[in-house]
Amino acid sequence: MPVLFGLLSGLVGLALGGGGAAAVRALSGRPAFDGATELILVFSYIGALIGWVLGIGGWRYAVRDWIGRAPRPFNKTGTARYFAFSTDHKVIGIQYIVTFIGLMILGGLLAMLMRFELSQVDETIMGSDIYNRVMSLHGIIMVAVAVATVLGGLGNFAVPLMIGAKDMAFPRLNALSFWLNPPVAIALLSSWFFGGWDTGWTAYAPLSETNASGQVLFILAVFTFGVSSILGGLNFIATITTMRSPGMTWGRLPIFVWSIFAASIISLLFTQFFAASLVMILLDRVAGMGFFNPDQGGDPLLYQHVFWFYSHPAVYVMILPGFGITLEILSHFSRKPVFAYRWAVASMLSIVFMGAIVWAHHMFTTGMADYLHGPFMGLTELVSIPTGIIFLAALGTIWQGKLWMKTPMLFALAFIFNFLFGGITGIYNADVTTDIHLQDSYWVVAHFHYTIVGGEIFALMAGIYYWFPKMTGRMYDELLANLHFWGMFIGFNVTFGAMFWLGVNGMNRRVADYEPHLEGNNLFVSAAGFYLGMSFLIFLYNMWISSRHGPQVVDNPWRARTLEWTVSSPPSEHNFPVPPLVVGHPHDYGIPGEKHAVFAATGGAPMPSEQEIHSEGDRS
Amino acid sequence: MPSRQPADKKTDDEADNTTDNVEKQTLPQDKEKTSPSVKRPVLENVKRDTVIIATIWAVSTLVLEVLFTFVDPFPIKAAHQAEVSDNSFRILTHMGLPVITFTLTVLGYSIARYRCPTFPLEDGPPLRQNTQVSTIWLGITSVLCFVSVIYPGLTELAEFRGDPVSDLRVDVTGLQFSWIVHYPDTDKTSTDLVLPKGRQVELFTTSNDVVHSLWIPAFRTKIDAVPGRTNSMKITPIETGSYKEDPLFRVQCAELCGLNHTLMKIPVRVLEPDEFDKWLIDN
Ligand SMILES: [Cu+2]
Ligand SMILES: [Cu+2]
Repeated sequence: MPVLFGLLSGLVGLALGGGGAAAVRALSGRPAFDGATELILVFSYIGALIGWVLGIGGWRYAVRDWIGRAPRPFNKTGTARYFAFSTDHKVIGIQYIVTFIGLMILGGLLAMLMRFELSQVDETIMGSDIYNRVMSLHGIIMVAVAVATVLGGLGNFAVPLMIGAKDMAFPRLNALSFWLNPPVAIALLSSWFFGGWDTGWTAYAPLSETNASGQVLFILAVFTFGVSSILGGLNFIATITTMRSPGMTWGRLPIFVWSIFAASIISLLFTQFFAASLVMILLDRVAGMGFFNPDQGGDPLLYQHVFWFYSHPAVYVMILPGFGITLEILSHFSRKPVFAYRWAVASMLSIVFMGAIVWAHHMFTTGMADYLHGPFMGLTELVSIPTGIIFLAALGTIWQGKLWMKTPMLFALAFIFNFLFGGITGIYNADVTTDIHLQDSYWVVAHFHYTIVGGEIFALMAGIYYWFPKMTGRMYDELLANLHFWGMFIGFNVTFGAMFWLGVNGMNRRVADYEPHLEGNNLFVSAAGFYLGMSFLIFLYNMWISSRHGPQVVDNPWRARTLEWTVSSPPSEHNFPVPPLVVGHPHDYGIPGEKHAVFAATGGAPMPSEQEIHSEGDRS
Repeated sequence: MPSRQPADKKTDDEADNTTDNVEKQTLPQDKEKTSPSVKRPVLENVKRDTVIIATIWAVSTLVLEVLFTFVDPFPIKAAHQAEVSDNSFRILTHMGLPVITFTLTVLGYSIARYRCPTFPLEDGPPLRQNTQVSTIWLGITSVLCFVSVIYPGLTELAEFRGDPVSDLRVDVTGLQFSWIVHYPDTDKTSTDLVLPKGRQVELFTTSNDVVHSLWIPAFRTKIDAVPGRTNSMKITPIETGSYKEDPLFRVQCAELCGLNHTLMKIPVRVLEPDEFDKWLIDN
């Protein structure tokens, strides 16, 4: 069992790292463990991480290569592939999806606990301490789910197929990106044994510098997750830039690929800032520095600036692929081209750049200089213009279309509905005078759940149902999927819709209790939340049963035009038996005879040589 | 197979021509770019659908706008800042309603009119782009955006900030997990925040430990209490009241600050000016 071996080697690393740090302390005449819990935690974690990476596949795949010996890949088949280091992007994609859906269920259960506590005034099932820790864990797990499931999961599975590549540009790096995640989950969960942490996922200093040692594990975990995100972003950019099949020009990329490209730019360029802010906290805690400690000349606001410089763009890492999936599915299920394709692409790219200059809209109440309020309000509201273009593309695509109301389409249409409210309510947070009231209230909770759950997670569900037949070779159960959709759609809108009212009426977020006059509404939200939670059981059951016993499907059950549907379901290891030659736009429905790609074997004509393709422009 | 890209700087139209050329060589079947039999009914549909959608949109927008004018969804406005903030909320909603009704009308109408229970045997019309529609859309969204930045955005912000000179200074210090209120004029310390009606108060906040945030929902104002810094905000109460009468009259910590963050709140009382003056000297 490779995973078991990785764990063992991780434990060895942990002992070496932690033991080494203690030994150095003892040798230098200080007590080995006393007063150095966090220092030893850090070195144990670093040791464990290195041990884990080497054991899980780093040694066999990479280090052997570096020292001049032949790499020894695992070459597993069947289900065993998913439990070992695999460089196949389809395996990695499914590993991501299953792992992070599992984490999403865990985060959802934590949310259920919170809603249970909040269903009545006063203490219901847990006190403030446990509540704060549960809420913080829910937050960071769901942020990780939102960052990784679509990008790492659906992106990994679909992007190489959609651009006609046989794999990602850096397959081993890709596998590393995934296998960095188990230590993240283990560190986050084991932080509970070190007092947990109660700062929320935002980890504002100085609270995050004075609380329990669980905070250190949070920092290490999120740092590792950041490395994984950066490597993933790098890999997607390299893949989309260099691995496109002949004829797949930038103008012919499926819109989902564009969205992954845009999100990857953010992953690659901005994740460092979150990591940097956390490393500064770590240094403050462990090495006695004072970046955020005013007594040592530091500034707590510095943390918030650096943190939001990543964490605002991070929401676009989450939502841009959501735009991509939605437009992709709207096109295939309306049997129409993506309307204003080029404008939509330009919008996504401009969101990437505008995302970098709006972070301080999270800080209108922090006491930062007054003259910054106007510019950050204006810049933030400017984002509504490219977002509006995405709505234009979505509505233009379904306009006069032939809407095939399968489950992926239901989720994609629901995306438009939910994100409309998520987007519009965001303006109230961008406007300074309304935000000063709404900041840190349940309004904000409702707003970001509308964008991330109502937007991205609905798109994720659309994507999972859409690519399910390609991943498994089987079809999901349409009736169960419909039940899941309606449960989730109604449950979601009722739960989070009511939260807007709570925020306006004075309920602040991240509290285990509230003013008695809000009890009725909170009970209502909790009941709706449980209903929303239950709809996921239908989803899990459907996935489980259909992936084993669902009816077998043909290669292209949706009769969609993009390349992943031209190969077998599930695709063979290197995807394309014959490399595709892309000759047209992937979304051009309704134009008789128009083709996206031809294959030498099926097209009846010989494959043109490299040279012919490259000189195609000169022949006209 | 990884491959390099041809240096492709062609426009959309040229790219389409290229497509044709490649395809004619590899797939020598006959094909027509547009089939006349599809085109006619689509145009008629577009006309009819546009009229229906415009009607539904106009009617629903009008109804909702009028309704929203008469509905007051806000809790008690006990300060001038609350009036400003709620006014911004109201204006933004008036501006957002037509966008919401438009999107939902197109969405709902398209689903109702064009849904196919089974796989659609025919494709939809190949509408790839309509520069006129896109430009108009871009124009309208840009205008909406710029207008909202100026009004309510910047104009209401100036109003919200109040006069440069205030009638009263109050210092509030946050600490885990309570607030200490201090009136420097008479050197009075209090565990309630007591303010006079009709006078502009400047509230200075700082913190002894971690970041807190001072939120008074009845005033719609909030300012963080940050260690090592002194922040300030101005409030002009316009309504007397107390926490007992309305729970929105409270200073609530709004920034997660640790264990008892939930309980970090103190009552707010707004008194008539003469009562307040008496209270202030009464030690
Ligand atoms: Cu933001
Ligand atoms: Cu506090």
